[in-house]
Amino acid sequence: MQYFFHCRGLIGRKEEGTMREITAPPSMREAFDLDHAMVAYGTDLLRLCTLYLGDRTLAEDAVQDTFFRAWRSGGFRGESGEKTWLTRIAINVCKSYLLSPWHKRRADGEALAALLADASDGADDTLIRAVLSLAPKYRAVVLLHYYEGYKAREIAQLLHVRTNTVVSRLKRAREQLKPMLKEWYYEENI
Amino acid sequence: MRKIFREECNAALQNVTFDNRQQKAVRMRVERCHKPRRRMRGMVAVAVAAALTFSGAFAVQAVRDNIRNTMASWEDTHTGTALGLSQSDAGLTVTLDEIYGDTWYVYLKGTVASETEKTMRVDNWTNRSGTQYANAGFCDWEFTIPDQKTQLSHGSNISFLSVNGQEDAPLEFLIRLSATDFALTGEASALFNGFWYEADGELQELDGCWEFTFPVDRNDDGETLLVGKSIQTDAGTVTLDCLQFSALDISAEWSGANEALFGWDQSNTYLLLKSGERIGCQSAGIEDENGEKTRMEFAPFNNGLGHISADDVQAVVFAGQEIPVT
Repeated sequence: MQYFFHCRGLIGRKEEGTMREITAPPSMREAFDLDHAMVAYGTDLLRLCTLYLGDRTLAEDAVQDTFFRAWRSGGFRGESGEKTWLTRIAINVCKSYLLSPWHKRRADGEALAALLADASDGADDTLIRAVLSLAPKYRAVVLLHYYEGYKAREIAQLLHVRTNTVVSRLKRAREQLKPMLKEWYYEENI
Repeated sequence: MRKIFREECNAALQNVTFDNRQQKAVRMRVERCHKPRRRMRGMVAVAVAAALTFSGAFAVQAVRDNIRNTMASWEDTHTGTALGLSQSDAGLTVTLDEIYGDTWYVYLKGTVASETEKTMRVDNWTNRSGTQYANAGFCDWEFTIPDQKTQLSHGSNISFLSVNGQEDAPLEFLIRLSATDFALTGEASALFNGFWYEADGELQELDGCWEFTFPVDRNDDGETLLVGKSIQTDAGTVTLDCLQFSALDISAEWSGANEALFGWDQSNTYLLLKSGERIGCQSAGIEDENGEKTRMEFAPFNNGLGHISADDVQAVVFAGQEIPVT
């Protein structure tokens, strides 16, 4: 399986033959203010990527890649918000990181412990541990829904899957999270 | 629930912020590549350390020696194909000297030399595990490989060798391409757009374009050792399916509990050779979309121990548990 990138910000998987456009023609793009975007969305994207990848160092690389690709693309489609556009790029970057062992895709053995040690001072890490225990495809929908607040339909657009697939993955993720979080707190509609 | 979820995550990640250091890194990357290229067929630019971040618990020897020691051992029994291809542009001559190929990887050896200066003064930089490289790289590159319509930049590494004690020699680089998806023979091309390097901390950039067409004639002689042994970990059962021995590197294929494979104790995971030497693990990545197969790479260039075959290996130690392979 080979994942690859296109210089204009396209990302796709060749087996499917579906190049997924994440940028628009220049005439349709909104101007992209890199400095503003890094200040406004950088931390949020970094935390999302950290939760998705379970590795802070890797997440930093992913967010830097995200902004770089956003800058390279020249702008974003006006019909989606700037943060949504950046989130889509970030998720694709993280997916490619997880799927490729060659491009610095390091699942460092000490990453989780380091992440939890660095990330907080005594904060309860039960939820993070539970989320990180999910397979990446479940982790993505959980984070986009519960952390970023996107609806299933929006997640479907972000991940380029059907809405039913998102709903199904959320359901399975909840089933997996339930026993891990029952000692902590759990609501039926998580 | 969403609010609680977000608040809990943010509380646990309160120290995780996109700070000025990271913003500066993005700006530097943009700065390096903002000049228009004469040809922008290239893939996503990969800056500074992107292709140079080899690491590993045991990788403290300079990569120059790692590459050379391992390559010398390989050349004792296997000969690469000489290419001798040079292209000059923007005052810089890029040469592809030799190609090696086996089942898992294709390696290209090459040099970069200035046409105007006798020597190129380039700073070294050292990664987190102490491995030293030249602080240089191409801004964009792409490879078109046999039997594959798409270009490949992902799955490729370009390492510029450190320049300690070799200041009067051309700057050397080694390219490693993942080869599992392309034909054993055929014609390939390489396109490099732009070259950057740092000298005395100052960034220099050359807006050139160097393109090569070269034959690939690799042998399907990468060795595979089937293992099929499982161990129990706190996170579940993992199975070492096989070990793959390339010309200069070794990797392992695993299946089983995803979280175990991505939460291993790195300091206690390594390849144990019959000689008693250890080769630490470098990285792991999911091989398939379902996350059922994981490929683990051990320290690059066999940590300078030379070419290693299945007969040389005693066991794989995963998180302290020994899995004999003999």
